[in-house]
Amino acid sequence: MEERRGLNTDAKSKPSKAWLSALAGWLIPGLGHVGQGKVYRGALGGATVLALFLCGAALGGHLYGLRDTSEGLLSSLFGFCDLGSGILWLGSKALGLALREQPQLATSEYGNIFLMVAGLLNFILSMDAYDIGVGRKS
Amino acid sequence: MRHFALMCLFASLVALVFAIVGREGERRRTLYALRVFLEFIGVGFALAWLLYWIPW
Repeated sequence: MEERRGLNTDAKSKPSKAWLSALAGWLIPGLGHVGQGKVYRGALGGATVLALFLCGAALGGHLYGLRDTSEGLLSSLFGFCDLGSGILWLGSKALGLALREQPQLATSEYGNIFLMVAGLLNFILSMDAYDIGVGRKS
Repeated sequence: MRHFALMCLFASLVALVFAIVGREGERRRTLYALRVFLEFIGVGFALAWLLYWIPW
């Protein structure tokens, strides 16, 4: 049955490899899929996350911190969403890019949403890589 | 107009990722991406009109 559905039964016994794929996918968007041989899927997903992140930064969005309290408890939630972008989030934090709020720009709120959704979509891609790794998906 | 363009950009990028993880097969993915994109735009317009009539 699983063979007919094209599921990866070999990886079922290697959950550590699946976790590694998920972690790699979180750190570098798309890498989890690429490591599993799904190059097209990984490249497209990674490029989409990157495009969303860059658009968000270009629109004047800023990254929230996990301990940010500028908008109450929601800020931490926003920070968690931003965290999903992996190396893009880490790099921006390290280089000080897209960290300053720019309310004077009409599109800054759009930018914030783009950045958060980039992170959330990368979380979804990472979980997809995990599912492929444990054989739940092909 | 710029807001609409941004909404279209956002919807197309999100639809792409949803299609990658949500469906198998090129044809099914394409159709699903198109459906998600149109749903985003439709819901965006519906909410915009709804909020237009709410005075606060």
